[in-house]
Amino acid sequence: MDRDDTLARARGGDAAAFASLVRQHQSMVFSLALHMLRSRPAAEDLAQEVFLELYRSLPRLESGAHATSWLRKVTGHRCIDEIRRRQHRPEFQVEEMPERGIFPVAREVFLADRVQRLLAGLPARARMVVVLRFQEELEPAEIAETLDMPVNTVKSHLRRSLAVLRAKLMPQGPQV
Amino acid sequence: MNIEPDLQRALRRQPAPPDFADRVLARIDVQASPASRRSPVRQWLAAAAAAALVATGAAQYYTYQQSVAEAERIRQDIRLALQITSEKLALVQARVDASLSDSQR
Amino acid sequence: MKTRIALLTLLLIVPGAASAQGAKLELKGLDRLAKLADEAVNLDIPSGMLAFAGSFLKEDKDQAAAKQLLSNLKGIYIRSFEFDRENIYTADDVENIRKQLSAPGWSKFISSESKRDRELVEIYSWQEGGASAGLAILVAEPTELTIINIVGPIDLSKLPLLQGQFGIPKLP
Repeated sequence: MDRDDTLARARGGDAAAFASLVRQHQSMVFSLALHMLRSRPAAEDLAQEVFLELYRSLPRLESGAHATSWLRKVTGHRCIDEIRRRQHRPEFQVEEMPERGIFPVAREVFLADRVQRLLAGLPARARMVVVLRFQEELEPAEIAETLDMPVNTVKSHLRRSLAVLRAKLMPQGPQV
Repeated sequence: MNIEPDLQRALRRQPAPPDFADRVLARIDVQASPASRRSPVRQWLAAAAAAALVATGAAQYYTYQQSVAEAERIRQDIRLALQITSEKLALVQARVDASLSDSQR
Repeated sequence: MKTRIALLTLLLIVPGAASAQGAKLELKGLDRLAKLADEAVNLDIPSGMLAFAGSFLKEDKDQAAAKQLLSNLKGIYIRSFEFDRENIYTADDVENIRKQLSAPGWSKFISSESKRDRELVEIYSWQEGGASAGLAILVAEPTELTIINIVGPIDLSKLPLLQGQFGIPKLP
């Protein structure tokens, strides 16, 4: 079904169309929240709130593409606000780092977990920039528009964050 | 070292919970009912049933869901508060230990 | 590192001199620092919210301890700021808190100060009838300021009972 058509019917009060709109975007919104908040319950709660706000804002949305960018923007801002309100200190996250394994799949799981823990150490806005860049594959100009941030600030956040992450992810000592 | 592929893998989209959309719809009290499109009588019946549902079960479910969500938010706040408290107590402990160690030299 | 530590004797207060609400500090004066901080935590969890969250805990033995601990508390209030450089918060910000903690009812029982590192850590207890009815922890470092205020009786030795509850990891 064409996304513009789905949006138009949702705006007209078609509940099934709105449900379709939610399903189209739920993975994006949920993942942004999950990568930022590092808690499934918190991510789901925030994602639900975003879609409730989408429902209230339907009359203002002009196209399917507009809905997508609107969702990214609202999710991004809400995640940043949530983190600022209650900053999670990475050294006290509950999940323990699993023991290192030797298989590629295990390595990927551990690496993903390690990346998440290191990301949690970045300031909220810098973290959101990195997540939008690598989860949504947005260009700096798109990130700037999503977060209402100057493009140069986005590039600066990316440069510094990648340098920090690179330094911390670099292997220390002899490799197994 | 190029970490961008690792970041892309670590940050790829995760699926939302299977009934996520249903929970959103429950909160805004929107029911997508294919049966309602079949005939005016069915539409009327569906609307009446929906209204009855709203008056009783759905409203209660919505209220319950709100309470659960609110309790979870508070739970997260309490968790953070206690984490910060433990961290600072650990800092004090470390200082006390260091001072006692210094004084014993 | 030379750090002066003073472990002060816990003083008994004069009965009737204070109420539980005296254990609650006024922290609003620090709220302006949130805008200046790189990271800020601002938590106000009064007794109603604690009770509400506690009502969702089960009665099994694992969660009963957490439920009990929470049910006794009247509030948890935290302001914690991390700055990207020094000299953002002022000596007055710290002194305004310490002035409140010098009021009758509060007793300082841990004090750690390092002039060289410009770090200050203090823990105070609010006493009522010879028992603890509140706690305040003040940590001031060059780029960080944290004030933790717990209102209500809290036995720090029972904090490990919260292991596994609310996602609390093993405590030091």
